[in-house]
Amino acid sequence: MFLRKSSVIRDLILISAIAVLVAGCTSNDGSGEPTAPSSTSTPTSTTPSDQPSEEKMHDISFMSYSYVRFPEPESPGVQAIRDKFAANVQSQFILASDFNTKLSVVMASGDMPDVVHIQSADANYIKWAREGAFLPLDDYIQQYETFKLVPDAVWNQFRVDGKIYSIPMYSPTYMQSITIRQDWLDRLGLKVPTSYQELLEAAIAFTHNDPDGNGKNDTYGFAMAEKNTPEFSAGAYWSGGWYHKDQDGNYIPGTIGPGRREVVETLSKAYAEGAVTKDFAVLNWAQANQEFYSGKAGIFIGIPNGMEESYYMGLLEVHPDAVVTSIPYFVAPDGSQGSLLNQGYFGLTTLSSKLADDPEKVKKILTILDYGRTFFDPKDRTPDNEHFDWLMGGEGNGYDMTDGRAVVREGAESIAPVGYMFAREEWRPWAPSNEANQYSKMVYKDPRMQEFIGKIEAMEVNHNKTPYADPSRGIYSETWAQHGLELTNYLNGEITKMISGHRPVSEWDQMVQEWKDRGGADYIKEINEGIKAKQ
Amino acid sequence: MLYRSASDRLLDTVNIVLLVWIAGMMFFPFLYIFSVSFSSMRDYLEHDFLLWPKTWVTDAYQYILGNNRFVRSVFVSLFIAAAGTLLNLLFTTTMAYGLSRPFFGQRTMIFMVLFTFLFSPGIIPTYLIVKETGLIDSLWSLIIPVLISPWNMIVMRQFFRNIPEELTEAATMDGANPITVFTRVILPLSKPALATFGLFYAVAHWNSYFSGLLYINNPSNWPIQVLLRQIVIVNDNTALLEQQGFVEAPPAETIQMAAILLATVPILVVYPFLQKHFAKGVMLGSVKG
Repeated sequence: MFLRKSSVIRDLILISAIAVLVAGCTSNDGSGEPTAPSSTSTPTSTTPSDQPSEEKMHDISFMSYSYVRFPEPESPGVQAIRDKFAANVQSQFILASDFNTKLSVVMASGDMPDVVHIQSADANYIKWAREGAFLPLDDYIQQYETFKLVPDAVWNQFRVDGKIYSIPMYSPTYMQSITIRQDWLDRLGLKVPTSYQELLEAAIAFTHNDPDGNGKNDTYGFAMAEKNTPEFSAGAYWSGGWYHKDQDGNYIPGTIGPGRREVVETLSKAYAEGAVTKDFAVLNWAQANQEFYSGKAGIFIGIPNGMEESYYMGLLEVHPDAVVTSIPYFVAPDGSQGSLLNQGYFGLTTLSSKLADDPEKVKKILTILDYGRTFFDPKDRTPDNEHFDWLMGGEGNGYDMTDGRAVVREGAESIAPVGYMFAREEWRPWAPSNEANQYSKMVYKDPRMQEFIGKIEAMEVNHNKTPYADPSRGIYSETWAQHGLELTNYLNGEITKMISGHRPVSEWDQMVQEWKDRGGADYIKEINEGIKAKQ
Repeated sequence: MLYRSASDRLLDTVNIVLLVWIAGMMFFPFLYIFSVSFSSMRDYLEHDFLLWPKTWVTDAYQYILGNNRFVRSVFVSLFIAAAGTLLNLLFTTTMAYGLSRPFFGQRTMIFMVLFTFLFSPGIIPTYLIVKETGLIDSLWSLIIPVLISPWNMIVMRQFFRNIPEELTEAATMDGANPITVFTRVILPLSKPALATFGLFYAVAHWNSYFSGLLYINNPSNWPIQVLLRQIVIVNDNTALLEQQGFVEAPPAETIQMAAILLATVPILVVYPFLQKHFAKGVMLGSVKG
């Protein structure tokens, strides 16, 4: 039987031969494709004959993460940068959730691209900086306009051993503040709360006194979700930041401080009255939002940037007379009034230390970066502004003007040079202040939403009198790296019990002691050592 | 056959109901994906659960297929799955067959294979090897490092050992050399094993995403799973994003669904053709009494 010719074998051999053939062709196609970001495409485009070509063309490799837009490696945007700066950007954009994995591998292989984005100043960042992977940038920050605008409080968060290894990308320092249904307050004849006591009274009134006047007992106070979110902190004193000190003069995290205790007491009393989302311990964030925006709950949180307009519009559709207002920060027992400052940056741009031998290239990279993060007043974001127009890829090409606002076109990520300027995937310039962004007008479309956000912005301007920068930011704690999640989970679990009445709030000190015994004490010690070392 | 007892019929009914129910559980997700992918956004939002498109809309498919990145990625994956699987089978069978015959040092060899199986080197050393051999950005980086799966190889070897020695002996007596024995006797008898491991390898290649993420920098050479991850995950993240006054135009749900469907179909098509091999007996009748 074995001598019978087996057609299967012949087929198999034939197939593998074809496969090898196909393999050869395909891989050739792949590497020789004109769209590949190969260096061969550089010389053809470097020097249009009518232009002086004294500037040297630099190849700049660039690795970044993105959430939404993934600019093509070769595009009109890249071409525009080539023409303007004599720089050939070879970019790679990786989905943000996968980025750190790839970055660790690339860094470990010693193959860092010229410019790399880092998502946060985490343990890896500190390690790489100490190992000398990044170029120190201290000498450059006074040379570029947008770098000078970065406040010291921001730089200090990612200094490593006193040196600056990266340029931060902008994010406002706003924190979430408390919002409340104004129309409900008005109907019940209440004032906007100025303390947790008044907030509690409002929450209880919302639960029992039918604030929406529909004759049904279907409303309550605080909308909450699992992990005791949101924090409902009415200022730095009550926040999770390192605001308070213990009797030895050491900073402690706000999560175990007296401010937090007051919030938990308030929520616990409210819960006993039915004024907190009943099953909050098992609700996710989207569900908590739904509780508030469907008109069931009266107290929630807000922030000028990054709110979902569709939620608020949904509320107005169901309850057209709903009005949400911002609760000013409370005056704390120590006289302070203001929020914790958010870290004020989002992501970092680092340069490879290999560039130390090529100051010209470093200069070019920083010039491009600086040009791409220049701030314009909202009224100057028009085609008349050449700088803005160029960054956005030109009107009718990269963006359109609608109602006086520049609206990015779909697919513009590859047309607009701004995506390749080493900052963020979109234009996020370094604003001189939070207010300068005018989020209420620039981000949201509906006038009612703009009005709502405007109230929060006005509250920030008028009542954020003593904003507080958390001194623990940017300090690495080994204990926290290893047991942080465990410690957080423990605290969240106990606080959930306290709010829902399964453990009396009077056992707060005991809980804090347990938390410290589980490793919290080491965490506090390490952070305090870090704070002292920085001063 | 004509006459069946009540309990027989009851059993049949229960069986049929149960199997249809299970089949439905497998089938409905696909139907749902299918329906959403062809529906308009409005229909999708209005109905909690769409089992058949109300109005047929092919926008999502036009969007995906009009974007040559998707098509290119499908071809990249098809190539990797086809070429990769053939090479996998070639290398796995030859090594397994070699190790199934007694020779000096066989134990050491098998130990070495087992060693790689138990102690894998980890991501970074593997990346370094791929980088130093110049395979970064080449499709071969997705094929060569995974040419042989030790586990599959050992199972294959066991399979070869179970082929009766008499067959090899008879062939050798008739003048066949080891290569002829392997290609003309062993491989034809191993079709079920080839089909099984071929499918395993093919599915693994089709689904592989991590190596694509690590080794392929050029988006035009991304396997479909890397791209798919972008299309599907990105939408979940939009809520977390800050906005800066520009309208986000994230791909609609329908695009996600269409992408999932388009990426799943090729491997679904392969299944039925290989499935018959799993069911077949292996050695039936090759050795008589």
